[in-house]
Amino acid sequence: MRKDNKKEISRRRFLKVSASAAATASVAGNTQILYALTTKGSAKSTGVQSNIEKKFSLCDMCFNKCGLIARVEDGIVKKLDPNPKVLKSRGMLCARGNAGIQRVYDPDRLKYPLLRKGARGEGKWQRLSWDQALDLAAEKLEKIGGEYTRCGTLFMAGSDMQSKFVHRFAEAYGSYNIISHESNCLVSRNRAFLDTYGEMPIPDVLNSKYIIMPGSNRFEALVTPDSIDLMSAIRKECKLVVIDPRYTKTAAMAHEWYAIKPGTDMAFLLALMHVMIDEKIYNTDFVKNKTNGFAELTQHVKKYSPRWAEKECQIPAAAIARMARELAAAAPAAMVYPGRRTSDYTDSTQIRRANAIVNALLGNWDQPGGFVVAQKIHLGNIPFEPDFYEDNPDDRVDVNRSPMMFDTEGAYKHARDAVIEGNPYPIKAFFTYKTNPMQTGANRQKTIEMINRLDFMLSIDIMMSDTAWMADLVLPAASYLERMDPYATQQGVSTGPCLVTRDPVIKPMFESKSALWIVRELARRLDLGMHFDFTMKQFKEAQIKKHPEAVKAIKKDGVYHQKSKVYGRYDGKPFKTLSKKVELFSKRYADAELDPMPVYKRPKKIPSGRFQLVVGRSAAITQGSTTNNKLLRELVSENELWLHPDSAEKLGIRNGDRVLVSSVVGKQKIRARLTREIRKDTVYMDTGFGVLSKGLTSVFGSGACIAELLEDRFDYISGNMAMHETLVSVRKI
Amino acid sequence: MKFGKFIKSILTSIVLITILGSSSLYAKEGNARKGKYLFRKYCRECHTDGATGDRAGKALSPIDKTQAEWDKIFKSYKSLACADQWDKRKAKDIKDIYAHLWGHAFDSPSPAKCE
Repeated sequence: MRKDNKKEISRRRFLKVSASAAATASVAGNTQILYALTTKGSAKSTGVQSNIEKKFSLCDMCFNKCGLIARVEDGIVKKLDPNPKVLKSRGMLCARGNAGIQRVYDPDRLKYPLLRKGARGEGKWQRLSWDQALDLAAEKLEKIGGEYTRCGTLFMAGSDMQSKFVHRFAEAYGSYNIISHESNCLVSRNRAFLDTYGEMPIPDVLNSKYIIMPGSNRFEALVTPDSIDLMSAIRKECKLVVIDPRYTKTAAMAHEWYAIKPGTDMAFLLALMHVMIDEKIYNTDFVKNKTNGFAELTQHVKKYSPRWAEKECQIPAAAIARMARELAAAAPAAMVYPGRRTSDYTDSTQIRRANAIVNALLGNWDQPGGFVVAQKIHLGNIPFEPDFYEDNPDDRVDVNRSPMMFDTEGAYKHARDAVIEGNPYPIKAFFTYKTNPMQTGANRQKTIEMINRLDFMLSIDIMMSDTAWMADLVLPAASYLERMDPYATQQGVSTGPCLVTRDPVIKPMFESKSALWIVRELARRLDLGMHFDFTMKQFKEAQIKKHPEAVKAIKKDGVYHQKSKVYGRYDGKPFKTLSKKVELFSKRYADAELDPMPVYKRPKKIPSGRFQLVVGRSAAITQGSTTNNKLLRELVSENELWLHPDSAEKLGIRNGDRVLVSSVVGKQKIRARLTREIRKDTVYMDTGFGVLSKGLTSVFGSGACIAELLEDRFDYISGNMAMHETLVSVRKI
Repeated sequence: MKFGKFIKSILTSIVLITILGSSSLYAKEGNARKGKYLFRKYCRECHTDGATGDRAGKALSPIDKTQAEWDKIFKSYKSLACADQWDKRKAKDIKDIYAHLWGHAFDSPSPAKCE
């Protein structure tokens, strides 16, 4: 266990740190809040009754949006607790969620609009008024739109409940170059499951009896409800097998762990199929009635025996065969877990196709303990009819670089290359909202190169992230506890879908504004105001019009659960694929000259003295968005390079030594952590450190940036970034 | 119907029937990007939640139909209650709208996101 993890944080200390951080924030910009937070200034010490309120909200420390209750005293958030009524988060709020108070009162919060004055990344800024900032942004967008068409501006918004308004603004402005964070995360998984089942299912972990988890680390890379359900499941009768080059905390809790050779997951999955088909232990009814291409698959996997797979993935053949039998015996309440982030290999879509196909053989679709169909609660909208700009190019800038890229997500890797190359057309402006590709996009130097090609870059964020640090104009966003957000559907898996929302817990501090306010003001200046002729309250009324019962429930409990059938929703219904069945063989892939079934390609041998760098998660870190948080820094203050002691010995490296890690794209200095919890040919480090932004005063100077080291390879089908394809060398400094 | 309009309507139908024989080709020929804007402009007025008036239709999005269903609709649009509205559009506009709807259909490789 690392040193930092041994530090126990008591609740009292937690609140003390929070309050002191908040006080510093106040010094930086708001004396009223400073007064409210100090002991002297508190109502308690003056004998006056505090005004204590409890308000519902949703966490924003990662993408999960768990339900919470904020305790607010005299307008100051004092404590965040889980909302037990929100079944999706199973009444849980993790360490990051608890530390959300520090996000709001972080002294490094952006407080007012800033205009870059020095060179990019130099950190010289001039304070602007909102009017000055918005006038300037509108003028730049107008000018670039005129010179390079409206598609000459690239928009990128992170996972946020107000990102939809940034997308709306992009469309009203006339650009269809809108990319999400997802191509740095999970699009290859979605691609594979959509192309197999017609949609992305959600795993019913709670009711599963047997789970194989290849590459997922659910007890650290938290996903609600899966992480909590997994703990509940294994406490009952569920068997958990983890396949991972690292001995993660999930591996530590598993019944079995296999340190698979990186890049060979498909060999393991194909061998599972081989055994199930060879021994006829697959779900015959499901395969016969609901799948397409079983005959082709039977032929295809004949050569992929467990004995063959053992040589590839280094998992014993007998164990593979046993796992296949145990999985099949537990089916349909069994699964190979689909995972979340799949930005790993250049054939990551095909690896997840293999995952999807094993599950199809189990017949676990729409079954308890298997895969559940995601359900939407239909919400209203305020429609808009923007104009089309006839001089716009025919398509997106990142088009034709991967055959099956999602139009609705785009691909960061491809868009960035397109901007650098100026091909197929120039992009001269970049508009970001709450996303940080400087930290999340592999090959940071390329992101810098892209930004240096721009005439104008605007970033809306809460903090001076590395991405904001590179911008021309930085606009301060309101944090999640300060703003009203639209309604959204969440998936509780076995508990069905629910509706959630955010209302302000406290008033926005400093000069921070919501994304809706910012894009509305920009739209007004660009004569596009008609597309934003509504307040957030009006938008929410339009959304919820058909669900008056939800309004009451949310007011009472902070959540509305819709009673609905969870299993058997596909009874008698066709799958949303071309064949209307589960596509073991994909005709669409065959037509696109892609392998219609997953074909294993052996990864390149790792040369002696070099290591495969893998990406993963700590439960205390959401990449660069939380590493500056002082409360969480008490858990993980900097990242370290996980290195096996036997490998370290050959390099003369001891535990705690500073080492230089080098790849073909970059170098970083980091402290070595010698551990047997990783393979000898693999190294690992947490994300979110080694920041460039001096506006992140807590984390600046800590650890190394993994994005600086990672090569920007990509999944050839979906355009998902492939972040496990980088080899590094390590030497003692 | 005036002769000019009649001819235009016939030509639109011919273009649609001819090219819809090979749907994906047709989708490639149309500009899906522009089609999204045109769909909103010309179709959403009636095909949206809360639409009122004689022509109020069911809310529509590309994912409400499969590619085959969109093919069918575009081939037989004459039987729709709003056929006269289709006839008012240029053949190119209809092609663009089709490219958007077909390209982001329920069973397409890139289904539209709910709005």
